[in-house]
Amino acid sequence: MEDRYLVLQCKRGCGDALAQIYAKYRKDLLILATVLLCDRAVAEDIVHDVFVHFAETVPTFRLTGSLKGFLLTCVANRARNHNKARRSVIPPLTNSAAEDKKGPVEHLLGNEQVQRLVQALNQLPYEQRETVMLQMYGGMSLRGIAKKLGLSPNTVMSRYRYGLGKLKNLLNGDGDR
Amino acid sequence: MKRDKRIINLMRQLDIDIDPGMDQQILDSAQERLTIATNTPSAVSQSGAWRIIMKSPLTKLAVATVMAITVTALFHQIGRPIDQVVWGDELSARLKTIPCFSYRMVTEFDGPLPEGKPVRVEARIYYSETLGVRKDMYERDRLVMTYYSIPRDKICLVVTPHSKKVLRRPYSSGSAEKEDPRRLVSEFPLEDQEPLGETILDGIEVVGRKAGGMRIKNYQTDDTEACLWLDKATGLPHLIEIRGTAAQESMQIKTTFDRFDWALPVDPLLFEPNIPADYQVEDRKASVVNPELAEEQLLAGLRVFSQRTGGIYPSSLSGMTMVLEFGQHKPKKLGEDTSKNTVEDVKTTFLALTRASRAYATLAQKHADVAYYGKSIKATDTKSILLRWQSAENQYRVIFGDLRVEELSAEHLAELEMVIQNP
Repeated sequence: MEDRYLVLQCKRGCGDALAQIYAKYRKDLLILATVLLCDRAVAEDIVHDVFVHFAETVPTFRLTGSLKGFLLTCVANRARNHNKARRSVIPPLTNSAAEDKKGPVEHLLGNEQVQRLVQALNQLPYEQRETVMLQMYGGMSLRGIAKKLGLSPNTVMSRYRYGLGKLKNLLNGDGDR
Repeated sequence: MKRDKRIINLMRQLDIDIDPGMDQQILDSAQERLTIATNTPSAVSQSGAWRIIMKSPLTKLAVATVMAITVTALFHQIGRPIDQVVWGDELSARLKTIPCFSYRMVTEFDGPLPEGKPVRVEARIYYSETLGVRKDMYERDRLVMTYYSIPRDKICLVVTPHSKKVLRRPYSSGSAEKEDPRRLVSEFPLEDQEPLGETILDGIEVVGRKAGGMRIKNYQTDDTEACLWLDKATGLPHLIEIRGTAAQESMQIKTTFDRFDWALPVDPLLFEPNIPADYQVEDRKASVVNPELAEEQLLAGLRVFSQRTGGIYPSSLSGMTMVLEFGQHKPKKLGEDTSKNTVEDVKTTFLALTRASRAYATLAQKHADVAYYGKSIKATDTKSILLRWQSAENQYRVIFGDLRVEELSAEHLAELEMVIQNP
């Protein structure tokens, strides 16, 4: 609510307005980053960087769409850069890996079904996971995602279609077929 | 592409533990950067500009003159020490000097509503004396409409993202006035005010007053009661609450004006309509009540109401009551089956009702001694008074049950009303 007003207050240097924006979206951003990167510490760093950058650039920032969509895209962009920098695809979280290393399942809360969803999301290729999360969790349109990520709508559409199909299969228990 | 609801529902249940230490650290860093970002550039540019200006003796003189004018203007604007709370005309005069401000307006409806649960509509309104008005309206956190009133282009725009439509209407000074809470303050009746004392709201020391029986233009409820709370430090409104009822108290309506920012910087971008290219623009005529036609519009609305409800009249002439009670009486077009009513017909009917209500508000503001007896009068009561107001000294304009209009002397009116009270 009132994001445009809060941004305007931030432009005037109002710390309370920035705190309100942070309180409103921090959880969504942290969940997105954690699901994308399977690493809580890196996810926190990314959310930190996004908010600090937002605070630095707010005097020249112009809100044209939804603020939530903008911040989620910032997180997704930084997460992708981080992913590329690691120069390796994040390994799927197998049962043994889950025992060895604290993955997103341990950080993200929810009932058994939610835990299964996180496990399933984690088995998707990174690009598909990113598109599915932005669309289904962030509520962004596929066209909007394509525009914000600088990709063609067809690419985003197919990533979403394949990602969703695989996710459904995994949740229905036939992911190995 | 169809989204999988089950997965979306699961995603909505995703949650994460937040580490308060990490939270504070992120917020501290961000706020520190915000302070630097919003202070540094202006401080540098201002001091730089100041040095350049002050190098020339001529500009020194010009700047001094401008400063003197500004200080004088501010003195006149404020008029008295800022911490002094004033009411009535003095408060209205103080508010009139504020060129740009914003506030939140929340309207809550509770009663026999179509969805069977209370409705809450929230709006953030930005007002500039020169740039006009912008109103962002939200329902359940979703932007449902943006309204612009643009004096420069002499137009008003209503942008509805859901239907991708823009309604364009001619601008009138009333368009901006309608969204101006200062009007409410000026209509706060001096004679009826009840002190509410001092208290603390949102951490701010405030002092309040309450008024009942208000007739606020465009505020279409009955038994309207308003509370006005002023910030003790600035003397400016901090909270305005208006409560009213409709349809014989079956509907409760509460409107709150708060989160005022009386020092909003003038930002032209905020008032500039941002309309996507694929939105369809429709032109509409101005729907302003012409005081000359107010009586005619009121009669037309009452006629439509009584014809379609079997000869009865609304219990009050507030817009909300007229529309709700009309809906409760299974509206029937004379000689026609209701199922054949077209959408256009429904639109025309409701337009007539709302116009009548606004016309009544205009008449009630313009004339003294207004009384309406719609609760007990029917269209068949040809000798009974439905509505009357004072048109001149010792002279009354009277509308009878059959919607006949006559000018009566005060004595004649008293005789007729005696009959109503003692049939």
